[in-house]
Amino acid sequence: MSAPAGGVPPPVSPGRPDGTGPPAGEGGPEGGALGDDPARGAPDPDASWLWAELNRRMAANRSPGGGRHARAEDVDHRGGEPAPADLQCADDEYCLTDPETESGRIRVVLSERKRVAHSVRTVVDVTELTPVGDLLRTNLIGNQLGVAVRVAAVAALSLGVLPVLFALFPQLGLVEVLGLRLPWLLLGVLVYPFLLGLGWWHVRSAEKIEQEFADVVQS
Amino acid sequence: MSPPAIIALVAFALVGLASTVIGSIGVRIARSTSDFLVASRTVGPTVNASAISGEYLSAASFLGIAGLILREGADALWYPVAFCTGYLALLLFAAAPLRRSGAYTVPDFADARLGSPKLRRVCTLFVLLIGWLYLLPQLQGAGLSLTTLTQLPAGVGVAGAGVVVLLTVIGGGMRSITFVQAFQFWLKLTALAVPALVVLGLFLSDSRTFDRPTAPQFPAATKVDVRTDVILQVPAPVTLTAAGVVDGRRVDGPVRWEAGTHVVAAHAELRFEAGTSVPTPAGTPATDRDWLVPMSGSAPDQLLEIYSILIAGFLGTMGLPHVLVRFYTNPDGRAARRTTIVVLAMIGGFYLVVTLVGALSRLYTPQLLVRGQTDAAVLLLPTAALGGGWAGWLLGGLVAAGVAAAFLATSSGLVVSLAGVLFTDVLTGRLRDFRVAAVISSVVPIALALTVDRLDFSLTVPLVFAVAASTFCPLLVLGIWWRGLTAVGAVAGLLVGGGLSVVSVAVSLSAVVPAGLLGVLLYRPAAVTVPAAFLTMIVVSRLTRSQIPADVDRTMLQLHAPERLGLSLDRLDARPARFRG
Repeated sequence: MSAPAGGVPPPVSPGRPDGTGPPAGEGGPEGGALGDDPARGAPDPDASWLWAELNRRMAANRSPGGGRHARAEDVDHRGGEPAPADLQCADDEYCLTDPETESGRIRVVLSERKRVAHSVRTVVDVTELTPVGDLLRTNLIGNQLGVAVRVAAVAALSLGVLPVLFALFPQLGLVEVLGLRLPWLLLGVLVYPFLLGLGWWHVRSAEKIEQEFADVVQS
Repeated sequence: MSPPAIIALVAFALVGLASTVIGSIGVRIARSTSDFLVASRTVGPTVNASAISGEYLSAASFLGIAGLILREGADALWYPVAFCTGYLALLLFAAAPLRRSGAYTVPDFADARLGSPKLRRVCTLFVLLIGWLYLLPQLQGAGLSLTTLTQLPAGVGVAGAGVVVLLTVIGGGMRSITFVQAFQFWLKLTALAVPALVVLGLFLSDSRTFDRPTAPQFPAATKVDVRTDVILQVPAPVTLTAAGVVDGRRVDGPVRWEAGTHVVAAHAELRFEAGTSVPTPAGTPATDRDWLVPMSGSAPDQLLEIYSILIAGFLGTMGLPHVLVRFYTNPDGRAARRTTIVVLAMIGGFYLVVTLVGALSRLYTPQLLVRGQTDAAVLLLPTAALGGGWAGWLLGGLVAAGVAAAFLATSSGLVVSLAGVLFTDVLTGRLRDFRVAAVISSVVPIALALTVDRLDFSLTVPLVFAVAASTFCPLLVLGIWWRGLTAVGAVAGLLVGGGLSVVSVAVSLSAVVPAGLLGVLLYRPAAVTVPAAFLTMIVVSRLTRSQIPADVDRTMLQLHAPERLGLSLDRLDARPARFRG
């Protein structure tokens, strides 16, 4: 894996090729204040240019089939931007640009078996833009954790309050609903569809968050 | 040997044979290391969910749950609820990131996240400990079932189950047991649901009711062989014929028990006339009316016990190595989530049936309360309810088949996950070693099961869950969601949580535990050990924050990013060439 050869807009520091080293610029994942909180410090407030840069780069990666074959027809519409091809094509081995083609169309040749190589390239794409990548990642993890904690809280509160209720109000155990005693109906029957419903709710929310994350990264 | 015993024996043999045959189909397609460890990550949600449910619903857990419901009534309903919520927790906090880590064993996940060989070794140690600790009741349960149904010695059941498990695992590893466990789940569900519905029909067409102010009554004249020392309580005077040591005196003839508690020594023989009230174990609800309502037993600290069970079940499931390793077999994180949803549905349905069986056994097999062998309730219900005809025998055989399937499914899941860890972390990691690892993983617990006394499932299963909840659960939850975790913190937390829970397991299994708060906490340690493990991991990680891995952000991204971004990495591919098949 090689770092982008050149022509990178000056503010975006490439960092080390594997994305682990301290970036030359400000506020990388390992540089600056190293908080332990997953939802730690938001990136540079002046990072709007980074968003634009990210969106611009990722637009080139968009494809209906999930991004494996990237077409970057809009690359040449960006007047005055230097060397878009190099941004798209970090690794010459899998990514061929045709210098003869006026449109600057990029062909990414990736077979199923080369997915690892592809993934590394995407890692570089995402992790190189450290402040934005940071924001996206903490957002994703924070949102997912929020959903998980919310569902867990609903489960814990609704189930956790039952033993206390049964202990404080023993007469609850005598109530009969649908021919079954209330504790048996709740704990023996209804609790299972309830847990299934909670699970379904979580899967729906988690997949939506992932969808949004992927859309932002790839758009 | 009586006809029902022969039928049960045939049922056991058929299930063993079918499992071996299905397992051998997997052998033909299992070639690479990835096949053996994670079935090449090709198992779809429905099959994987069947396999997970197959191995999770261990006979030890469902025989134990039915027995607990027979004994304790409404309060025992918390056990299946706790076991089921475990999958909700797994779904919420671990399923998808676990798969996306690209790891192939639990220690490998720890290594992927924190990159510490020392942590990896500690994890290996706890996987082996939890796995062997959990295999013990499984194998002994197979022995119990064989003895209960056929009067053959328990050792035959233990050894037979061990051999079948080894045969299904050794040929194709994860590839072959996936099919076997899925088959075993559906067999198990059928085997339990059919008799349960038949007996339910019988109950509904009957005038019997649970709502009686008295203890359950013997439906017919009954002879009870007391096999373990037991303290019984009777709410009203009872007349019986006894032979053996009762209340400290040797008796041989009619005895009248006044209301109160009575001590019966092992090997005593008690005879009750039809219609006599059944003495119940001390501390459990004495009358059926009490049995129906929650919080009715006289055992102290019930509330604490219930919460401890809930915590252990909710968090312990995600620490069970054989469950975790199945999530690595899904093609991607999304499939891992879908799998968990299907598992929730399957397990919920199954526990519904178990609850029904447990409740009905209060009417049909109350003699188990006297004998102190409530774990056998599921096994004896069909013959007790339908009488000694072919119908009862055949249904009894079906139940026996289901129970055998349950023992085999859980044991083979445990053995394959242990073998995977031994093979990659202890042995050299060459394919031939997988078979050596499988042999080691199963021989150790077989030897233990043959030499250690059997304990009630309701004791051993929650203890295993408590150890799992106090070790791998904090490691997974913090590892997946908190970038501040360090390897030192993780090791410290594992040692504190694991150490505390293992000590309480050892103490509660080997010594007389004092009643009261301390006793409850020794039997149900999760309420203390889980927070202790979490706290240790967090505090020690904060103290060693300079050691947060340099690539933590990239790892976190990989754990959480959807696959369509192409960030996922299979750690099996990243291994040196000699590990590949």
